Amino acid sequence: MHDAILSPWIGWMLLAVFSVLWITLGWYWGHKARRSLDDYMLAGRNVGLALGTATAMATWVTSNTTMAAPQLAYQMGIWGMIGYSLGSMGLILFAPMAERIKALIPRGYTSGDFVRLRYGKAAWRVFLAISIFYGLGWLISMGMAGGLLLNALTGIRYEVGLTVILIVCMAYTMMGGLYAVIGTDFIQSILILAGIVLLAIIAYERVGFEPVHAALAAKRPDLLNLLMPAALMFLFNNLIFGLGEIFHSNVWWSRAFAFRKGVGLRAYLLAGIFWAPVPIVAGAVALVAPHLGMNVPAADMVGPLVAARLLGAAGAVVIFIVVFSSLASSLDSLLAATSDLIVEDIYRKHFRPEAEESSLRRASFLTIVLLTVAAWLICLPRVTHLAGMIAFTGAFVGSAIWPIAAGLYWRKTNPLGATLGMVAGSACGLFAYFYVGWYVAALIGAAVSMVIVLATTLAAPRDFDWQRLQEHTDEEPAVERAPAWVPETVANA
Amino acid sequence: MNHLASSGFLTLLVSISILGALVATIFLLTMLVKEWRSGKLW
Repeated sequence: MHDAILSPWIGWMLLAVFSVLWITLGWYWGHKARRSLDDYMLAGRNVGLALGTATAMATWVTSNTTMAAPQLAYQMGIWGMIGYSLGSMGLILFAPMAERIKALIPRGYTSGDFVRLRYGKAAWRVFLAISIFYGLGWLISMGMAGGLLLNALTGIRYEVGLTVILIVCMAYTMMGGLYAVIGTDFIQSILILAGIVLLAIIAYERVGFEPVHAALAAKRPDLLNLLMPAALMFLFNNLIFGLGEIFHSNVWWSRAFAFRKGVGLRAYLLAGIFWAPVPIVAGAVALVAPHLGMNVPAADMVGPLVAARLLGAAGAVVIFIVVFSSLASSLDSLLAATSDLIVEDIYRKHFRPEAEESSLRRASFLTIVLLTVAAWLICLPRVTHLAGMIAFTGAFVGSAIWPIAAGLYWRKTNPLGATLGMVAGSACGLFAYFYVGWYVAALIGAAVSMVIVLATTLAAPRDFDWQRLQEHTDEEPAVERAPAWVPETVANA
Repeated sequence: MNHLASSGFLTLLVSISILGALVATIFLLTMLVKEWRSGKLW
C-alpha cells in the first residue's frame, strides 16, 4: 500500500469547498425544478446546445476515464489510449437517435416508455430488469471508486469518503432535479477539460516528446506496439460495451427528452467529438512514468503519481478536482435517471397510474434516497471486486443494442424478437463472461441479440404504427388502450 | 516492425488531443455566454 499523495486536511478542504458549491447550486436550481414534474425530471424539456453538449460529455467522463485511461496507457500503450477514446462512438452514434427519439416521443419520460409502447409489456419488463440492474451496477462501481480514490489521493478513510460523496450527490440531485444535474455537469466538464489539458501540457513541456518516446522504446517497447493483441481485444469490447450502455440507458434517453427540439443531434455529436481526446490526454500523462524512472506500486494510480511527481502538491490538487468532478458528474446523472425509471415505469405505470405530480415528486425524493442508501450499504464492506461489477453488466447492455436501435428505425421488428434478443443475448453473454472472459461479454451479448432480432424481423415482419408512440401529455395521464379487436363494451368494463 | 520507430506519431496524437480538449473548452464557454445572452440556455 502506498502513501496518500495529498495530506488529509487539504483533501478535507477541497471536499468541503466542492461539496458546498454543488449543494448550493442544487438548492439554487431547485427553484426552477419545483415548477412542475417536467421541470424536475427533464429540466423543462428546453435545454440548449451549450448545457446539452457539456452534460453528455461530463456524464460520459467517469472516474474510470480519468483514472483508468492512464492505467490502460501504462499497461496497453498507444492502443490502450486510442481504444478507450473509441468510447466516444457511443455518443456519436446516439446523436441521430436522440433526434429521432425527440421527434417520435416528444412527451416521453424514460427509455422504458419507448420499450413499453413499441414492444409491449413482456419486453418492457425484461428491459426494466436489465436497465435497473445496470444502473445499480454503475452506481456501485462509481460509489466504490469514489471511496477508494479519495482514500488513495488524500488518506481520508474509505468509508468516510464514500459516505460524503454519495450524500453530496444525493443532496443536490434531490433538491434541483435534472436542472442541478445539467448545471453542475457544465462546471464539472470545464474543470475536467481544463485540468487534464493543464497536466498534459506541463508534463510534456517539462519532459518533451522525444525523451518520453526514447524511454518507452528502451524500457517498455510493448507500449509502442501497434499489434498488441490484448489492446486490440479491449478496443472492440469497449466499443460494443459503450454502444450498449448509451443506447439503452435512461441516463441518455432522459437527456434526449430534455434537450430542446433540434439540439439532440448536435449536442451528442459534439459531446462525442469533445470526449474523444479526454482519455488520450489523460493517458499521455502516464506515458511519462518510464522516463521519470518511477516505481508505480498500483497501475491505477499512475496518473496521480506522475502529476504529483512533476507538479508536487499543486498537481495532486488538480487531479483531485478532476477526479471529484468526474465522479459527481456521473453519480448525479445516474441517481436522477435511475430514479426516473423506477418512479415512471414501476411506481406510476404499474401501481399508481392516477398519481398526481406531488405524489410523483415525493416518490422521486424517496427513490433517490433509497438508491443512495442501497449503493452505500453494498459499497461499505469494501468488497473491491464489486467495483468490476460494471463489466459484468456488459452481457446485459450488449443484448439491448439491437432491440433498441431496430425498434427506433424499423417498423418490421416484432416484440417477440426484441424480448428473445434481450433474454438470450444476456444469457449467452453471461456464459461467455464466466467461461471465456470479461472482455467478450458485451460482444457475445450483442452478437446473439443481433442474430435473433434480424432473424425474427425477417421471419415475422410487423407493420408498427409510429403514432402509437405518441402516448400522453401531462394533462392526460397514460391509459392502456385495449387492442382494436376487443369490443368497446368489454374494453370499458 | 510493428513498433512506433519515432516519436512523431505520439507527438501528433497527444498534440491533436490537447488541442481538441482546448477547442472543446473554448467552444463550451463561448456557446454558454451566447445562449445565456439570448435567453436560450434552458
